[in-house]
Amino acid sequence: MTPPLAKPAPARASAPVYALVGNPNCGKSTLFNALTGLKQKVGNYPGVTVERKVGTAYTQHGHPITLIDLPGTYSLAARSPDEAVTRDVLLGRRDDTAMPDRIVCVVDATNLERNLYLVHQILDLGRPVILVLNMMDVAEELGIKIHTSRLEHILGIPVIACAASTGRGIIELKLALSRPDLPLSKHAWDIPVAIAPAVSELQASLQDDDRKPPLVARAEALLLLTDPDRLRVAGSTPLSARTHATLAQWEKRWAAEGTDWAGALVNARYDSIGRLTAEVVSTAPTAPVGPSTSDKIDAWVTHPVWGWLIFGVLMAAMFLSIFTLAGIPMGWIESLMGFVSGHVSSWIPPGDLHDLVIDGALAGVQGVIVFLPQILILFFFIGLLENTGYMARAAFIMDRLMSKVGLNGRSFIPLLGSYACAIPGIMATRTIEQPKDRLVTILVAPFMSCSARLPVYLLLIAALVPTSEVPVGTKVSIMLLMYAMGTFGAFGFAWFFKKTLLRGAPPLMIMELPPYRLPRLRDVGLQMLERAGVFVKRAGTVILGLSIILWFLATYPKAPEGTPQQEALAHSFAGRAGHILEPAIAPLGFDWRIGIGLINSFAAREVFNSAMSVIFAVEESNDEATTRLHLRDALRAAERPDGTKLFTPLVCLNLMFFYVFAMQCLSTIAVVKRETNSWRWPLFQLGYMTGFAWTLCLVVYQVGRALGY
Amino acid sequence: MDNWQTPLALLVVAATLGLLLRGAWKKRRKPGCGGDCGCPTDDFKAKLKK
Repeated sequence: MTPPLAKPAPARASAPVYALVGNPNCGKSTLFNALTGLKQKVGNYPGVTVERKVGTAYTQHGHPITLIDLPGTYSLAARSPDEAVTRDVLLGRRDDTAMPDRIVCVVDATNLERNLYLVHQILDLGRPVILVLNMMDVAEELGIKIHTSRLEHILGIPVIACAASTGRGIIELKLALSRPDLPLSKHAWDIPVAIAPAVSELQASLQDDDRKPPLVARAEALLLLTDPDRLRVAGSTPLSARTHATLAQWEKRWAAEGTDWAGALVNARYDSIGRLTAEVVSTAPTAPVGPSTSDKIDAWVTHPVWGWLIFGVLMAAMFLSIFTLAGIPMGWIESLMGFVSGHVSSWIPPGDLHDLVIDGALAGVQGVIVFLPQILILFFFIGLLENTGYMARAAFIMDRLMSKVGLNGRSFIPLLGSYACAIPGIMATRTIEQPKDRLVTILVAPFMSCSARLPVYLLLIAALVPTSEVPVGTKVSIMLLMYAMGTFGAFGFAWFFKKTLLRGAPPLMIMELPPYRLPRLRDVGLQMLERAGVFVKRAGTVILGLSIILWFLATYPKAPEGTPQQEALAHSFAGRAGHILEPAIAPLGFDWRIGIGLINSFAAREVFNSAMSVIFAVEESNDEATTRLHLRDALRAAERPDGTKLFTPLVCLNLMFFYVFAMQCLSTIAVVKRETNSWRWPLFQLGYMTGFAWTLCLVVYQVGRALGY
Repeated sequence: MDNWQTPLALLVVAATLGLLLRGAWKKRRKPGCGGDCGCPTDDFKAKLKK
């Protein structure tokens, strides 16, 4: 048994660096945000696509301290790049990040025994540690009582009871962070006798050749004996040859003896944790027994049949709301834009600047911003479902389907994120352990209909089905069809890749289902407004800018005076680009004007709407029309040179199919390149997705025409 | 009378192009979604907890 250490750590002259560590979903990031507020910097660890979050907090005396929010991990035995970075930073293996001076371990108080495994390993490091028992409010509701003072006495370190989501315990934690004389732990546990010589030899090698401090060397020796360092990431300092040789020698010896030394070590650690929790945790007699309310709801929500029905009903209700509730505010926005256009038009006499402002900037922005109410409703519902805890159940249901295509249920969270935007979805794949599963998820994530596609779908549905004649259920069904096609397209290609290019064994998934809770409408509302703000900001910056550029491309070079408007548009840069593309897209039913929209969509998908606004406004403006048609009416009135309608129902549907499947986002391509560290995969993704979209649309259009549509 | 309007419009277009290219270059050096995609940023998550 190692001797206890109670000598306080010496006070440091400069501000210390704290690392925040804990299991996933223990509330660590909520705590980090509560301590640092807006004073955070997010970057990447060099050489590896893992996020590095550093923030500044302040002691009670106003001195700054640095906090590093390390990726969540269940133990120092890393199973993914995120977890490897946490391990490496704590063990001082990274040249770009110094070993933290002090460590804040955040644990979920409702599941102390499991969470203490990581804490137990960290206490071995011999660094000053503060233990934060988070989610104490939930623990108390469940009748779990933790004797924090007893725990503090046994471990010899500060233990703070906390509920980061409500702010409870934050002040006490700040006081603990402010202490210059943080004590070292009295933590000690019994290592199996048979393993002690191996620990000593490895510790000596780590101290001498790898130059580790004694206690860190011992902790690393214990880790290497249970997890022989299989996962290494870029930026991690390799171990010395002597350490590797010592480890290999002991592994060989125990393999010959048939001793499961790794298992023995893990069991010894769990025994120590079990004795500790038995002393400090008690469950109240009034604690509920049997299935909780969440369990009873889950019996329906995760049922193989009812679960899917409930999921379908919720999605249908969400889209129904989008189509029914948004009509009036959309009208307000259109009136407002018309009012602004009318006034600006009266201030600037006819000319190029007038056309740039009215037909370029305002028309382009209106084409996107008019869908703001529908975006708001969508994010309101998503926020509501997330806040209640339902989304984890959706991931659970999806896992059944995803395992059939060879994907981990962990892929569902990145894919779910891709419904908002593929970029954070693709970045979220960093938590997927298996490289092939991660790559497959990255390759199929853009199939999820992102929020940028929503304005395009809404415009084309409005052009396809006039409001007054068709039940709203038809529009809902078309929208659901688009989302379903994208989702099943993703699963289909995932299955294909897992059977061919990226073959691998189907992975296991273990996930936690958080308890249900009543949604915090304030949080949902704030989140909805935040996303609305981002959407409006994007419309006012990127979309506005692209609309101005598009107006220029659709106006210059100018055709000679008196040229008919269609020909004038065809004469412009945009028209010429559209005409170059037209032979490739004509078999799909698209013409050069749609081609301009498709080209512009590579910058941002919703720019299709702006492009159509600019193109049809440009066509209208020189006719001196006194009223501007709504864009959807303009599309429905648009004609081909032979006088037939351009946006027939078949073309509208086909265009939506194209947007579901084609890879049209340069930003996503750039992120895929970064995450895969190569141009091969993003170019492959661009090729296979766009090729599939083209082929599908070709078949749909040609068969549709043959059937008389 | 759009003699003054044409060069002004072209100036606006050039300035817009410059700003868009500058934004794209900045994103290249600081990769990430930058909040443009509509996901809640970390700054915002911090606000939620205030």
